[in-house]
Amino acid sequence: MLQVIEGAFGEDDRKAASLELLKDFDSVVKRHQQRIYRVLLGMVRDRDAAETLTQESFMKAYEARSTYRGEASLSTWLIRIAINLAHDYHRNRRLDFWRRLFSGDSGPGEAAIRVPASGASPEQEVLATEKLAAVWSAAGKLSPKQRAVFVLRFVEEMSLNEIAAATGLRPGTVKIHLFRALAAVRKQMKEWQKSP
Amino acid sequence: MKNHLSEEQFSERALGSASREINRHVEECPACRRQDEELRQTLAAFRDSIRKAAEAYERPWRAPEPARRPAWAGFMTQRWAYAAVLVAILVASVILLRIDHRRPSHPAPGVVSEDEILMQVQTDIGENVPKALAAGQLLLAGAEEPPASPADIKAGSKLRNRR
Repeated sequence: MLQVIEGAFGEDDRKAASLELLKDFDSVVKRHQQRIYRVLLGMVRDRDAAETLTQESFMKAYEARSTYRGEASLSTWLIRIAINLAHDYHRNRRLDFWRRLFSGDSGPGEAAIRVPASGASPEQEVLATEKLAAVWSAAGKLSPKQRAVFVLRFVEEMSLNEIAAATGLRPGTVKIHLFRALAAVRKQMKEWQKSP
Repeated sequence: MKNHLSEEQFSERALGSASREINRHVEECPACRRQDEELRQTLAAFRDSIRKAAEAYERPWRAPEPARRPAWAGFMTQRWAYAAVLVAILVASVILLRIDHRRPSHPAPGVVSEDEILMQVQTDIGENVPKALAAGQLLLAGAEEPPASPADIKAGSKLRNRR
């Protein structure tokens, strides 16, 4: 099924990717680390955690490099590792919640995302920052699976089939998750617009 | 299309998979166009904020060193082997003891034990000793001498004379 999904990923690409993984892992990291970091930042919404998980993703990929069979592109394979780590992170955080509840610790804060400078007036920038915070808040309320497909689609601009290959979901299921995620974001934006 | 776009149709627009009819409605309806534009801007702001945050991200890669086997690992392996052997011996001993314990301590009816056979033989021998050797037998056995009969005394003197 993956061959059909990733039809462009031919035998030559597969061999080249396998060889690169085994011989020149350094260049694999250089080429993919920003993308993996972006996916993880979108998923965990914490810069430090995203950085740690990025390092961990490459560590896992390095350890499992001999098992890469080229069913998916190298990028998709790496994203899959990163998503699994992010899911583990969310599971551990759920446990952390109870630990923090009893210890009185407030836990790590959400990512301090800044609006890229655009030369707008201070009022417009404040408004844009608030709007962005609302989107991040909406993304934070999505389930880990919905958040993963949302980030892969709207940050990485991957196709439904590519997202399906990276998440192990069916393209139809990916679309359903995206619809729900978009509806949640729109709802949050409407509430933000209504608020004084 | 007379009504405004539904939630699903806005999502189709955002995913770039909307039908011609939906696209035409967005062009003609200012309210839907405004909402559509709002969603696009929101998603673009989300994307740009993450991309901007990741722009400066670059970390050097250092391959992990292969894990070394500590010196005590061999000793520990040996210890486990010894422990396994010891446990095997213990288990075997317990099993053997239990099997031995199950054997009947008294012979089955009709089966005569070795001790009983030996006693029987000794009794038979005692009964079948010729009278001439009875005194010698008594001497050998060191048993308490029964009161000698005149015939025994006679036989004993005869033996002494022959020597």
